[in-house]
Amino acid sequence: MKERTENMDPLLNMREITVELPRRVLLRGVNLSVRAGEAVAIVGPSGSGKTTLLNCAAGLVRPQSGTVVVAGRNIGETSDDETAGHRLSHIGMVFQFGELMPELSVVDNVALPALFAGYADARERAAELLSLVGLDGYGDRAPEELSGGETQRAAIARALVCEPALVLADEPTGSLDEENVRLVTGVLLDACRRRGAALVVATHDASVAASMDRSTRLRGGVLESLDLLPDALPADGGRRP
Amino acid sequence: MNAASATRRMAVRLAWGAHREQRLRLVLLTAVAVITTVVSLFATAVVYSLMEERERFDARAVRLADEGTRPLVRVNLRTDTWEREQFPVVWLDPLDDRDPRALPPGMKEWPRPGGWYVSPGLASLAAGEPRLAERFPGASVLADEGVLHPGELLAYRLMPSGGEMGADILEATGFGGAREGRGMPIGDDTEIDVPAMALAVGGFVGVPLLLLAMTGTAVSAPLRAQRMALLGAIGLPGRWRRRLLGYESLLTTGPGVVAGAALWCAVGPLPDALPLVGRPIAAGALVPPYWLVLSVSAAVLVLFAGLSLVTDQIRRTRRDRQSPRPRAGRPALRALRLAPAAAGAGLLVAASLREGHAAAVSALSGTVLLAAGVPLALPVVARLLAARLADTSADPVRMMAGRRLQYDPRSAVKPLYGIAALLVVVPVVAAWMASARQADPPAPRDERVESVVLRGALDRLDIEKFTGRVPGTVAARIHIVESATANAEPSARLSAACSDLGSVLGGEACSRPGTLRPAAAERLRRIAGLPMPLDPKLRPPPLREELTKTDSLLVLGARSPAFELELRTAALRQPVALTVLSEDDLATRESKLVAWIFGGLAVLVSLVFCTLAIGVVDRSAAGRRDARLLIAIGLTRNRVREIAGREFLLGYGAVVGSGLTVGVIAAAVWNSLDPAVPYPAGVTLVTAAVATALGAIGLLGVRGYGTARP
Repeated sequence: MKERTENMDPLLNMREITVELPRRVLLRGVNLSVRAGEAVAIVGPSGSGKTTLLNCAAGLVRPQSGTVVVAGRNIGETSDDETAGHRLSHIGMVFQFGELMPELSVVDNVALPALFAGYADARERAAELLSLVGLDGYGDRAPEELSGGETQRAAIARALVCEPALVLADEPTGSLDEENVRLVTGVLLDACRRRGAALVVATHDASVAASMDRSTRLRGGVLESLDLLPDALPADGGRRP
Repeated sequence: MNAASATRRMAVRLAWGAHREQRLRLVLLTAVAVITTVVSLFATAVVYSLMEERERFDARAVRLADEGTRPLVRVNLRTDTWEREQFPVVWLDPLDDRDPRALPPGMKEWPRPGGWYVSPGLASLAAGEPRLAERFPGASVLADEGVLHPGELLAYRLMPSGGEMGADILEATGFGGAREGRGMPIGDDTEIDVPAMALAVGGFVGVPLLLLAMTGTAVSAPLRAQRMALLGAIGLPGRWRRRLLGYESLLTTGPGVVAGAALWCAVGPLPDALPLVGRPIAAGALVPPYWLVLSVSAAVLVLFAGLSLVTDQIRRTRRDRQSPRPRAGRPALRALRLAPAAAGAGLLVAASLREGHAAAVSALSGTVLLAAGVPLALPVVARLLAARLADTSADPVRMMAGRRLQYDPRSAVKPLYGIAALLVVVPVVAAWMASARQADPPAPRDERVESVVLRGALDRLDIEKFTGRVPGTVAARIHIVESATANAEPSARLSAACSDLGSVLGGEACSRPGTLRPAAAERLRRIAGLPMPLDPKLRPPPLREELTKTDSLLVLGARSPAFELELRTAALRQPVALTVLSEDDLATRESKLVAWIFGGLAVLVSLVFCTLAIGVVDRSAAGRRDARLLIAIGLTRNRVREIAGREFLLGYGAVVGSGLTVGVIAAAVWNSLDPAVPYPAGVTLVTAAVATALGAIGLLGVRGYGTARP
């Protein structure tokens, strides 16, 4: 497991992010900082720009202005290939419908990032993570054999296989029932905290947001309830009681 | 809004929607519709024009008089040759030259005695070739209904006064309309065997067109399937569903079909020769009648609509595909796919154990089954290969490529079906063509001496005057002597003087009077093209009264460009019917079908390439969806391209390996039917090289098109 030293520098630091579409501005001067081990929810209605914000954090979308620093690297100054490599090693992504590849088994799906990152024990890591998320023994199954909740848990395991510094989850519980929402949210939080990873969750579910350390709202392209700098936070990190 | 109008509006959205995949489908399917329509009309026009030529061919066949029926005209069929093309020269002797009933088609009145009627093609050729023109002085030109096509060479001659037609005279009541067995054709009908040509067109054009249409119909299929599943889940009744699909097909392919038909009607009349074959055709022959154009266009529309309905029906029979968001599962492959290939292989084995006609039929049937069966079996082969690669590879790129191909081999290899069929068919066709070409090497020609053989009314020929046209020419009668011993081959003897033969050969021809030297005898045998031994004993030179209508006269002279030309002109200027057979006439000729086969293969390869291109673009577009996820996980674009490229190469390797292996074996079986013919190794290598080049193009397309910025 990667060691995460106690470090007050945010793992994700987004400054003055602006993303414009031909007919409207999606994000205006958004600032977001997330520290190691912190879980932040970004709430907002559909079309508010939550996915775009996460994609900017992952380097999948380049903003018209602003900087994005992930694990000490400004991904706005790197090439596409360098960004992809940084993403493979330092960022894990969870999508709304899991998005497992039907042609791979569950364990191969989970191991995929680690395989491409060159980990010799990729499948062992994947098996361990499947146990962690409560899918022990599911490794050889095909993705179509999993339920929605099981798929999301497998996707969480995939996001964590390379021990990323940052996990970005876009509506991870959007298609789940209430019981699975609780289960998946719990698994996500627990797994990230064990590894000291920063977690950013885009959601419209109030119960999910309430489980996070803090919440921010995206409305009209602007992020409310900003978290600017580590030393601006109270000593307890501003976590919810 | 009622159900009918809602269905139409839905069809418009389905066909002309703004979704990128829908637009891709519209563009590609329109292109496929244009190509399918143009090629269909071309193929239809070719068969239709051949049918019309067949009608004209039958209409000019000599109608033999029945026993007891008074003939109206006596006919003798001869030939002439110009630049290695042999053509008919028909002698006519009407019993009443004022009776128009026995006029051949295209001839409006009987010419004067000794007069000529020639085809437009021969007239045109003679206009530019004085040496040809002098054979047919003052010739009139046949009308179009008397010839198969404008380029055909054909001549009729009314027997001159005091002339003689020789042996093999046909007593006829006219031309055309003969009952079975009572017609003697004029000319060669190899190229107008309509059923065989229609079958060949079906094989070379119809099958690859169908594959192209299937590939085009499958473009962006998952999106359509999802839309249709959603409509089904909502509750759209079956008949409205079928109407929706029909309208959608019409909207996507209709413009392409109309454009294709208009394009063909515009360019079809332009060629005066058959494209890819080079054979002259009648003016406008490549544009069928308007009713046929409409019928073919309608048939193409129905084809696309039918394919759309069939594929939708196949999907609907799978319960797991009826949900708008089906749970992905590995598509199943039935073992039944292997049946045609297995049957084809069995027939090839049977062919190798049989002989003669039965062996040829087995080999042909086996090849046809394999050409269809190998593509069908490819997904099974590809899945097995992919599984092996994925299971044994530590490289994640290879593992991913293998798993993807293993998961859905059918989609991966479907655009390559045509290539597999090509690899099976081409070596076999090459082996067949080698047989058709009768690949015995031609006999070497004498450097100094040339010969022609004269046949016909030799009893009325003034030999000295005839041979006097070319100084130094010698004539020798050929006698065929049957052997007294049973089963022994006959031999030939010449009637000629030693001095004459010596003057031609350039040395002493005889060892003693009346007996040829062995070397001279063998040299004369080769010069004359005699298949049997030449007896060295000579008979006295031919005297006119000794020659008969059934004899052959060998005419020898110094090799020169003028030798054959002068003798042919001299023969046709005689008042007696003669046929001159030169060394080229006696040599084996390449079948006229060879040009057709090359043309058919060119069409086949072109359509296969189009299918490959369409399939690669569609597959690459599908790959873009997968590429987004892989890039989001953290793979670079190059890595994603590598995976797509390896997957393509693995599938393509399965296709080329299977097709080539089967093609080589099938060609070997064909070859074993005629061991004298060499194996078509060169053609097989060229085919493999073309397949490799196509694969390289496909790989570039997959790698270049297949990634997208998410």
